[in-house]
Amino acid sequence: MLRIKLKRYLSQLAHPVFAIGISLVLGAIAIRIVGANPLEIYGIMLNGAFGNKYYILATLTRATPIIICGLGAAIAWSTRYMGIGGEGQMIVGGFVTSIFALYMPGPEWLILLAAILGSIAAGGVYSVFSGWLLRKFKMSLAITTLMLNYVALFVTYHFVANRFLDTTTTEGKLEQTKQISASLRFPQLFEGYPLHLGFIIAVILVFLLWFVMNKTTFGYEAKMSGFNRSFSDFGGINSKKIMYSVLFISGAICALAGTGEVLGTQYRYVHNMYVSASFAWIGLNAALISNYNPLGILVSSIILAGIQTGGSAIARSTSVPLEISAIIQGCITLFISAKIIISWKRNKKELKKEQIMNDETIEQNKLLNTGTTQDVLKRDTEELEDEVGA
Amino acid sequence: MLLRMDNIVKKYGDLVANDKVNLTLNKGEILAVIGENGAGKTTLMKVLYGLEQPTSGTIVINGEEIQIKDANQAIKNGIGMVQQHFMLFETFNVTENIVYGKEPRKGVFFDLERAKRDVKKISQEYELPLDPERGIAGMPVGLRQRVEILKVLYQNSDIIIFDEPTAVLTPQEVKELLKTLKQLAKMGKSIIIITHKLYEVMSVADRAMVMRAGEVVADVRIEDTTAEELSFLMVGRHLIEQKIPEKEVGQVLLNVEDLCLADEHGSTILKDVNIHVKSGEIVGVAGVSGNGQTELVECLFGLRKAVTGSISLKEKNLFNKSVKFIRKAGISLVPEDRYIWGSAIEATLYESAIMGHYAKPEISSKGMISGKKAIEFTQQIIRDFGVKAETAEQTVGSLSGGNAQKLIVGREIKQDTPLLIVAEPTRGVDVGAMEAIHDKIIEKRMNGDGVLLVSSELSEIIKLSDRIYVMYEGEINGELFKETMDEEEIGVLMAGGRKHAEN
Repeated sequence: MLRIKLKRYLSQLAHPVFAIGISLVLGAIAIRIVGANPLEIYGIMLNGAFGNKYYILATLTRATPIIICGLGAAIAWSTRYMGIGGEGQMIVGGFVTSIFALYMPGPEWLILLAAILGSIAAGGVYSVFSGWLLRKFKMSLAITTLMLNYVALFVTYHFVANRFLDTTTTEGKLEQTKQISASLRFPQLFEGYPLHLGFIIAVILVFLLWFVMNKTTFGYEAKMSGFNRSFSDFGGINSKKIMYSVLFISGAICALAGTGEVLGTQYRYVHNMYVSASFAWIGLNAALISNYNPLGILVSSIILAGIQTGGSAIARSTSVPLEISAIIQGCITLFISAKIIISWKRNKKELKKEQIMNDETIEQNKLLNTGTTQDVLKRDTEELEDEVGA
Repeated sequence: MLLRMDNIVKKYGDLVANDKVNLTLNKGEILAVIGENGAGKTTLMKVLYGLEQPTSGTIVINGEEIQIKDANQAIKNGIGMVQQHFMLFETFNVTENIVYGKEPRKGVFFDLERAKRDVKKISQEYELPLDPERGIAGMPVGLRQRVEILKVLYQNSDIIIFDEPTAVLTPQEVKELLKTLKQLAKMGKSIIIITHKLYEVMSVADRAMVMRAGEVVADVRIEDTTAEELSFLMVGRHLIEQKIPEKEVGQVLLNVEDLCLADEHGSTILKDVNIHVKSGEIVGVAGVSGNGQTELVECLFGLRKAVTGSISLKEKNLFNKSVKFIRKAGISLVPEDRYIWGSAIEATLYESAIMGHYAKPEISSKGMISGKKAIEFTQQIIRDFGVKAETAEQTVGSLSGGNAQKLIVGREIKQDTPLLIVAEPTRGVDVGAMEAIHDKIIEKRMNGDGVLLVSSELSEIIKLSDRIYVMYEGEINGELFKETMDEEEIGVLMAGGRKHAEN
């Protein structure tokens, strides 16, 4: 039993390690093409990401929103609600937090509480809206969440530029709110280093989400609903409730990532602050790499953040451009998405094997009673479309 | 000799699906390939039809060794296959479906007139009457099969493979088909029929090839054998004819009155269905698949909302309630399709086994599931229901169909509800698993609970039921009792005929 478990964990690890490895090789080729020594560059990169206390803490700071967004994506994606609205949710969360922090009267603890709970509620409701569109109008979650990202970005932009603009700074013409008061900011974990309380929150969330997904009846219901919606309906699970809860939680978590950035690093809401750093997308990557396992997300987010901070170290100290890290990251994304296709194909293969063992089962006949090649092709594309459409 | 398959071996990884199989077929002969599920019949036919490549072995047609890489090559070599699940275009008519892939042309255009003439000609030649212009949509299964047969004949096949051709037919349609097979053989076609229904073999085949665990265990002429011998060869042991003990029936459990259901376009699926199940009784719902049985079960279990009528269990109203409510009220269900409704292929055995149980104190408390208790619970089902599994943590997809089904039956019987609905409990399950599942259903009845058994397998219904409803086109077309039931009569009712005796 233990061996089976161990084997399962190892086989889960194999893919991400492979994806990152191949990406590093391809990155090395790119480095070679611009005429530098890959090993040397990777050395600088590693040093820039984890070389000393400052670098490590900078990497962890960068990893913080990635981890949180990864968790937010994981709970929705593992239930097969594949939204890509993390960015919009972060924006909503961060914006709401900054407005509460700047304009709410009252004792500090109450302001802080309101800023965080307000962010959770706003991000959650905002995310649930996409779910409502899916249920009511059968609009693809991927499309609505993506579109709503822009809605969130520009609606907040309007408010920041026209209502809450900080007119006191001399920092050029940035569209940003005023700075929030020092007493409301997340404390730094080490004096003089950027790492803040948000990282601790991220780690707590990792364990909390792992617990919810693996140990509670809610997690079980969500997981089964993700595996097979008909099966969970048959078992008496209320899919509607699961969908809305999962989307709420997912949106709320991503909103917290936005809150963390506002209270922990920028101390204000700045237009485009999440978009340019693409935290939400890298977070989604981390979730995919680790197969939605919260602990895996913690690790892979740190690695992905390291590639970024390491990348800027290269740009600082050599002539190799910053884009190298973008290449590596792009490759990782590519190979991870390849995994989705591969595992989908493998599933089919396994089904085929099973077919031999019980060859009259209707379901398998549906899958495998192949007529002509055209039929197979037609069916394959249909299945793909179903998968993408869902 | 027309066809010879020599020493065919087909391996899937470690699994040997066909082990040195030899098959011969003469012109005008009907060969029945029989065996339990997983014996390797379908694999062998897939090799012959080019859907699978053999690991080793040769195929010889008319003394010439050939390679069959895909279905198109098989067709070119005169091999045709009538699939178990028909592959017809719903929106096309008979002619278009038959000539598809080999259309007669006039220049670059499709010559529809000639196509119609050709179809009419072969339909007359082989005495399979069919209107060439009739649309496929709405056509009964028996006729659809006829279209498939004509398609194969149109392709000039000399060897025609029938994969479980009678599985979806009414008894009357089966008779028609068997007649057709004999007719085709008389006209010089060679036929391979895959089946596990022995009376069909005895009535139509010239020779039977019996497969077990990937090997040929016998190849006998029909006049030299008996159905008993064949069944013994198939299973490797004698089957015991089951006698179901008497049981006094109790109060009415499930009561359904005037249940009506329509689909989203408003056309009727169920019309005024009135049925009831008492405690200590197995009630069968017979019928050809697709006559509303699936939808009836879905309504009873809250998976589908009915239009009007009433459903109650022990006088508690269950009409259009949620699945959760209905499960709580005391109904459990072994669903018709084990991978669509009954389990999740990617889930582990214990995850699938605790469905419907996970909220109970045996498994969880205060919203937290105990993994240990869930696994113990699953191991108990594995033991009690003879599921062949290594651990409770392997995936459902890694079990064979019969074992997955046993797990599902076990899970639902363990709900210990007053009423159990079982839909197609042994579809695609081998004989051993089938007996085990039947035993458990009978045991449930002996405990004084009620069972509603929905099955398109008539023999299963007759064997287990105390009372039978026959469904036809969404209506109950007759009710029969154990003492007076007669297979012939059920067949008539299943085909939409009227009951002649009582009414």
